[in-house]
Amino acid sequence: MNGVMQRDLTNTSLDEVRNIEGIAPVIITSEQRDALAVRFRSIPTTHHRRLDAWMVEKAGIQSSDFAWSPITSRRVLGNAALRYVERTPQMTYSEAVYEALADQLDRAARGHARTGSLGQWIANLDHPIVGIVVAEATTWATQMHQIMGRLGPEIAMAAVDAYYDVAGARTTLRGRRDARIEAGSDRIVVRFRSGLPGRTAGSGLRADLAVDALADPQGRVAQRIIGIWPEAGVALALDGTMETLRAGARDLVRSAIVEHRQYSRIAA
Amino acid sequence: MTTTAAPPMMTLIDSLRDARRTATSEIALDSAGIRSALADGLYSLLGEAQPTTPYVIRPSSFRHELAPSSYTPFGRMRGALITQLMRLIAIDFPINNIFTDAVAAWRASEGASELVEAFAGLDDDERARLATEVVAHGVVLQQRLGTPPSAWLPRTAVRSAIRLGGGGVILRDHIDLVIGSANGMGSGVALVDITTATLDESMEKALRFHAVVETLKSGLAPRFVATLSTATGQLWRLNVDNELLNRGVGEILSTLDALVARR
Repeated sequence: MNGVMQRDLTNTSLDEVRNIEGIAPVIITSEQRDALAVRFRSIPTTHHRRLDAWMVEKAGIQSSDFAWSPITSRRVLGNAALRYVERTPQMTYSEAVYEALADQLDRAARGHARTGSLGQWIANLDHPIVGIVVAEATTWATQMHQIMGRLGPEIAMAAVDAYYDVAGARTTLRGRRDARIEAGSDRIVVRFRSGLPGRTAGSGLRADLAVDALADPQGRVAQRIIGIWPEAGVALALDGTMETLRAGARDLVRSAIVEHRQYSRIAA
Repeated sequence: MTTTAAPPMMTLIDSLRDARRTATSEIALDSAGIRSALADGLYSLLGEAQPTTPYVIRPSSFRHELAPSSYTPFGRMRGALITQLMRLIAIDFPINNIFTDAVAAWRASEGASELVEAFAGLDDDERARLATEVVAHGVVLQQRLGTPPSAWLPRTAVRSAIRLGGGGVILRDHIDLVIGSANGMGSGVALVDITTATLDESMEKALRFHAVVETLKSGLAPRFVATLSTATGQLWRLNVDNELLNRGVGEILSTLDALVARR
């Protein structure tokens, strides 16, 4: 498969997107890592850069107005809840969300949560807002787990997002990943997204795939990345070829350039 | 189509529990047929030309003409506040004060919006009137909704956005409460709409719209669509079958036809 494959969320389509038979695994070499680091180092920065798929999709524009809300907190809490459900299958989704919430509050109470973090935000919420946070995260967790159940038994929640610090370039790349499908050496990264996929959704997936591969100590590239938009009933999939990987890395570099230009303009 | 008016104090959850226990004859729901009927209809209305701005159809597109009173800012605020209360009830979250809890939950969910601004601009009298209405509707909601068991996998405020006709048409939906699961072999999903308006023909159309959108989204038709009016306590429950889905498709196409003619 070349380019982005778009499918609906019927069982037949989900069977198709998870089938990676015949896709040869690709590995990033040390030389390729070094070449990427050189590219990032050549883009000046006065601060520590943080780049992700969101910036790639928004053409390098920084999200300056992020604020925690029931909606922005649902992925963190919902995914944490699903990790609880995986460990303790008899736990209900809302019980698991309360556990995830308690973890955040515990961190805040021990003074481990930094200012502006989710834990700090939750610790200061009024009683009814906690209810809406729980409702939103429970809905997220339930919907994701239902789709995961249709992607086969090998699927599991990803423990954390992928982070890759580019040596000597003051740049951290973040690749979001919600779940992974692993069978032997075969690996698929799964992302759940809100809303409708935009024109740049494929670029975002490519960037996530590239960071996932860079964060792997052996440089193993997942054979496929699947982006699922449950609200739109749409799945997009991309194969983990060297071509896809290069395009993902190029988009991240381009985001760094755009970000640098924005900072320079503000400074001027 | 089956419409059930529940006995006076039966909750919506009880009504769905009864319906799930009742064996119904298996109907093979044709989700692929629904998609292609809609695609054919869109093509005959829009042709190959792509509109510069997509036509957006929502449940309110059906309700607008028939129930304008619910679409005043006051009616929308009341509806938004009752939706937040429903979300708290659905997860069995303790409610201390119907109005203030609903307002706090709504502001956190909605963020900055025109409606939140309109709320901030209410004078004391208007706010007191809204509070008493919300409390009255909230009491009906607490009496008539019931709490879904967690095994029914309740999801609240579930949004959908289905792009059709190459992006020329978007069906946007918001379901207050979704329960049950669709495992691919069959669907046990029920879509529940809570309204602060009285139930009328436009609500039936909205329910059919919900069923069509869910079918397009998941590839599986839901088993039931239901609504509860917090104005009257009236419950409607419809079993989803091919006739209901086809009527829904017809109503979407005629709404689009009207939108095209107006543009």
